[in-house]
Amino acid sequence: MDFSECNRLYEEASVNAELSEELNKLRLYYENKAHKYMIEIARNYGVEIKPEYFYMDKCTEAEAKRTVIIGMILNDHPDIKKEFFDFVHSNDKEYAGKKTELALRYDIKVDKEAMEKLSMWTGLV
Amino acid sequence: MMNNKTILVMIASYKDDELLPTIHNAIDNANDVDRVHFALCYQDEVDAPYYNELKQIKNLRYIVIPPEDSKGCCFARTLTADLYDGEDYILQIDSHMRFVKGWDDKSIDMLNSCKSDKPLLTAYCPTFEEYDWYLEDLKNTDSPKTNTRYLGEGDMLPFGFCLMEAKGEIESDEPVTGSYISGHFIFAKADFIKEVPYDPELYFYGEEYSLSVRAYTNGWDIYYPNEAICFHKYGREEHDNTNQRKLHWFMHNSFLFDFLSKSKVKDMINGADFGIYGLGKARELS
Repeated sequence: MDFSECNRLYEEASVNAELSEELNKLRLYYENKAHKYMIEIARNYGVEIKPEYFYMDKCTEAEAKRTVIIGMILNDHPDIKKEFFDFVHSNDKEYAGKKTELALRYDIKVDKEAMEKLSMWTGLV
Repeated sequence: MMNNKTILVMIASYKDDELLPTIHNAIDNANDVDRVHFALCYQDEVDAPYYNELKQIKNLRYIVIPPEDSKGCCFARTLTADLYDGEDYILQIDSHMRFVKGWDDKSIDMLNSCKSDKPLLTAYCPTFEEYDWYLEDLKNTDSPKTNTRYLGEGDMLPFGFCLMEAKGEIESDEPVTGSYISGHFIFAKADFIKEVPYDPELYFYGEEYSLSVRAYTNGWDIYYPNEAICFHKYGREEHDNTNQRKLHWFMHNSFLFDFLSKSKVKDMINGADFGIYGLGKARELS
C-alpha cells in the first residue's frame, strides 16, 4: 500500500495552519460522535460516563474504571457489541472519506483505501 | 556466513526519542547494510527535530500517523507490514533497541540452524544495561560472548517464555524450542507476516499471547536464541522527566480498547472464527 501521499497530507498540515485546523476539527467531530454513542450505551445500563472520562489526564482512576464498564457491558451483550462495532467501522469510514475530500481540496492525492486504514478505530481513542 | 538475503526491519514508533539511535545502531552494526531495509510506522509530529533526518535514511519506507490519531501498538505494527516489498526476512523490533555486531548474519545463521521448516526466533531481549557490558567486552574481543539464561514456566509468568540475560549461564549452544512470542523481537522468513498478519484490532495486552497461538496453529515453530542479537530498553526512567518514553495509554483512552482487545483474544481461544486473524488450520491448540 502506498502511503506517500497520506504522509504528505500530514507534512503539509505541519506548515499549513488552515489545513491543520481543518484536520483537527474533523478528528474531534468523529471522536465526539463515537464517544456520544458509547455514553448512550452506558446510560441505557445505568452507568454515568462523561466524555472527559475517556482521557487519562482528565479523569481519576475511579472514573476511568467506568469506561471499562462499557467494555464489560458490550462483552456481555453480543448483539450490542456487534451494533457497536458496526457503528465504529462506519464512523471510521466516513472520517476517512472526509479526510480524503479535504486532501483533494488541498491538491493532495490520497489513496482512499490507505486513508481508510489510517482512520480505523478513530472513535475508540 | 555472508549471504545477500534482504531483511525488512519493522518498527512501530510512538513519540520515541530512541527511534533514530535505534535505526542508526542497526545500520552501524550490520555486516551488510545494503540488505537491511526499514518499514517504519512513525507516530509523532512531522516537525519533530529528527523527522527530516529519518527521511534521509537509505532503504527506509515509512508511514506517518499523527500521535492524536494513533490507535496503539498492534495497529501500528499492522501498518509496517503494508510496507513490505519482497524482502527475504522480517525482523520486528521496538523503537528502543540496540544490536550486536553482525546481527544480520547472526540472525540468519541462527534461524537456519533451527530444526524446522518454519522457525521463528523471538525473545525478551537483554537490557540496555547489559548492552553497556557488551560494549565493554567489545573493547577486548571482536565477538563478546552474550550467554543467555532462560526463564521458564512459573519464574515470572504462568507460562514459559524467554527472558534473555547477556551474562547468564549458557543453557544451549543452539536455539531452543519455545512457546511464547515477544513483540519486540521476532525474526523469521517473510512468509510469517503473510501467514500470521498482525491483528490491528488488538491493543497491547493479548498481542503476544494471540500471536503465539496463531503462529503455532499456522505451523510455525517458536525458538529462543542462544545468543543475544538485540538489546531492549525496558520501562521508563521515573526519576527523570526529560528522559521518559511517551506511552500511548497515557495520552489516549485505552481502557475500552484494551478491554475489547482482551475479549477478542478470549473469544479466539474459545473457538470464534476471526479468519486470517484467528487460529490457523495447520495444528490444533493443545
